[in-house]
Amino acid sequence: MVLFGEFMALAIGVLLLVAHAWWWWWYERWSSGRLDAVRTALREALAEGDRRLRFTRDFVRLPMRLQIYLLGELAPHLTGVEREMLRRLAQQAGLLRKAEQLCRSWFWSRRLFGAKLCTLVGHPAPVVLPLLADRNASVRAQAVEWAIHRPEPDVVAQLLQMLGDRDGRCRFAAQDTLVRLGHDAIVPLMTFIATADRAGLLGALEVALTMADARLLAPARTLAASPHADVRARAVLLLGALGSAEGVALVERALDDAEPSVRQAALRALASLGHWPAAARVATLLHDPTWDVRRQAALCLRALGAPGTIYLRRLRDSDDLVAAAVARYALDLAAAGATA
Amino acid sequence: MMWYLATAVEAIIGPVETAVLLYFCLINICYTGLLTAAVFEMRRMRNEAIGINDHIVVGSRLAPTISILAPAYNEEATITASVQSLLTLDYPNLEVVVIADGCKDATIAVLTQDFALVEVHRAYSPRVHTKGVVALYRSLRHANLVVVDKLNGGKADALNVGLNLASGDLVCAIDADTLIERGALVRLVRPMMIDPDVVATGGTIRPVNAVETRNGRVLDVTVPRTLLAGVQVVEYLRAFLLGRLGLNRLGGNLIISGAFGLFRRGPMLESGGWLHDTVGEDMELVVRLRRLGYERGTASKVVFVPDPTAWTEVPESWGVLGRQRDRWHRGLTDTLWRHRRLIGNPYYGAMGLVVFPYFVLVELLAPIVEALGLVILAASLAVGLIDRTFALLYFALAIGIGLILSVATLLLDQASFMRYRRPGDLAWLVWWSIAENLGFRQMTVYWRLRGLVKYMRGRSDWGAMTRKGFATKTPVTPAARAAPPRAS
Repeated sequence: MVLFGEFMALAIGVLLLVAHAWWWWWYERWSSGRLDAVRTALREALAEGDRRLRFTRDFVRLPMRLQIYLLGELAPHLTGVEREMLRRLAQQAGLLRKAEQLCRSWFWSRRLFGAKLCTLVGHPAPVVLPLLADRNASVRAQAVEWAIHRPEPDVVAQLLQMLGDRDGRCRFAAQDTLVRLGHDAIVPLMTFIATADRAGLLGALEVALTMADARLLAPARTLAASPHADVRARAVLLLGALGSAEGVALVERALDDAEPSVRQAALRALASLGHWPAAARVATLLHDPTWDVRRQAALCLRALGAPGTIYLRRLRDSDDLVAAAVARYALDLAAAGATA
Repeated sequence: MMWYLATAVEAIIGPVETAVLLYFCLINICYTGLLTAAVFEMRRMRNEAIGINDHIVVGSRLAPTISILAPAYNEEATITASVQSLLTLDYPNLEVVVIADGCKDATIAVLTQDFALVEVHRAYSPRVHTKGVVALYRSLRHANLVVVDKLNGGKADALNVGLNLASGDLVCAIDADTLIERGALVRLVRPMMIDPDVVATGGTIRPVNAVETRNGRVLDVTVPRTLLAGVQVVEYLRAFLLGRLGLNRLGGNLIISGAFGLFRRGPMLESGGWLHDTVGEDMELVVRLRRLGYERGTASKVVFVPDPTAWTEVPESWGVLGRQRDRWHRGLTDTLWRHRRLIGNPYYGAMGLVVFPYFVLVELLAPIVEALGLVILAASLAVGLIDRTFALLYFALAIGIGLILSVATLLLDQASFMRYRRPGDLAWLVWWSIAENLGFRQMTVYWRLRGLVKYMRGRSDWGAMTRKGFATKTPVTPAARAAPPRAS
């Protein structure tokens, strides 16, 4: 009896395997021709700016799974008018209505799928907005990605709040979307930095560093005196990306910070600024007690050009063996034209 | 006389037989539990994958930096193709560190010629103790390529040198002859980006034998037609999609394959890197990282991700395969023994209460009990304690359960990834699932027992591993053998 049951389970398993393989073989043959025809027509129409969408009928006739597959294939590469054409196409095929329905579903995977569809074609449906506060992190992250199509102040404010989200995927999506929003996010970002807690602040500073907008100089100056070392380090890096006389002075001051991570950040900032008058001060950090700071100081000197190279050559023969080694390393890198 | 013998044998065999039967039930309950957990986990991961746009991570400057550590030993014929494929992986912030572990051939010379290497001064902080570094090279063509030549010290030592030199937030340990799919890193890094408590992630390893490759890229996937390679395809699928995926739900993994694993660099440096004095350094590292995570209250989760795939060559000779399995079992035994205080220890949560006991009961003891079962079956048949029909039925039952698990794993793989697209390949996979029970499985029991015995005798050698090689081979020209230039 047991053996019979076992045999039946095995037979069902093998049958399922065969059926799946057969179905897939048939489906691929069935779909590839249709897919190729619509794909070619779609590409041609997009390239020629064809507004009549003569291939719409063929697209609408495709199964929804293939329609979404095609959209997914094309959408990441399209912007502007072409993206709008794709959105109209999805609307005619009834995909947008379906996506909106899915966004209201009780099941998180369906809400996720709905939000994904709206993101793909850039559909700014209000129904996605509540998903920014969804209980499921995957759905929230997808809604954040979608928010690039709705750069309104309240949406940006919600994105900023998510910089402190416990789920890394939401944090990353929020940072990435804010960076992509660019100009629209600068002023809200400044306001957020003034009031954020430490977790949110760290995320916000990373965004600010990537954006490197001059308006962020004031908050960066303030945060360079933060009691938290990680915040200070990022603020110093931001100052390095922004420049200005006052900013450079603060970066130089950070070379004396008690925390090695801040000193290291200051060296990186000076390297990116190419502030050669600081070469003498930087050279002293080749004798720093922390290895990473010494290495960074050597790389910074290398980035400062001729003045830095002079110090590196002097330090190459130093009695401090570690300083001599990192100086030689930086000089070799300079000769090889390689980055660290 | 015969009656006395039978009574004596029965007195000995009876309790052992009961224990073996109980173990048989326990092991199959464990496997069924793992399969169920794997199905749910796969479903969750597939659903979550809907919402992840890999191109956003690939195009983002905010993605964490990854240093790939590729140890190489006498790989002059294949190293160029391997490094080239690593440099073209789809990931924005990538550093490739190739560690030539005392190569006796022209590996360094070939790299120098093909990647325009120049020697730079050896300046690094030896935070993890290793054998000496002979020379350090940077590439004039690829700013993110670092090559280090060191004294021979084995794979663990080479990886530790790479760990000292790496600058990424994360380090990815691979074998130099492992072929990584282009989008694999982006998928492997996902759990690390999602959850700061994840300290390591691992992807699926599949045998590359019979797979068509060119310049480090997989062109066509077919199932091998030879017994050993074919059976190992099924075995690897079961180990990864059933075992490791299932364990994700039941307390996390204890193994990340040495051929393809991603780790956070900070905890790695704090833990002291890979151990030199064990043959199971990849498993030992994962257990140590998790253990330290629990003890220090830092990141301690290890996640297996099924969709990123790395392809590796599996042995196709009985001798080499035997040495590999024997070494794996010694490594497992050594790791479990070193960290024995974790067994059943509630301080270590699910790892101590579920995962560790599972590894001891199911992975470590399985060959002993299986061998015992076979001996008892033979002895019982010989003295007439059981009839042949019953023995055959019992044997069929054991094989049948194994087959069901294999077919279920194949189904899971097909429904999720469709790697083997030809119906003929599926037929071969089903056949290899059956064929592995006819000799192969019994041989693995023998090799694992041999590993246990060797471990108890204190043997810690790796055994010679020969490989045919699958990467595109480049002829080494005499010019390539010239000494590399110095930067200054």
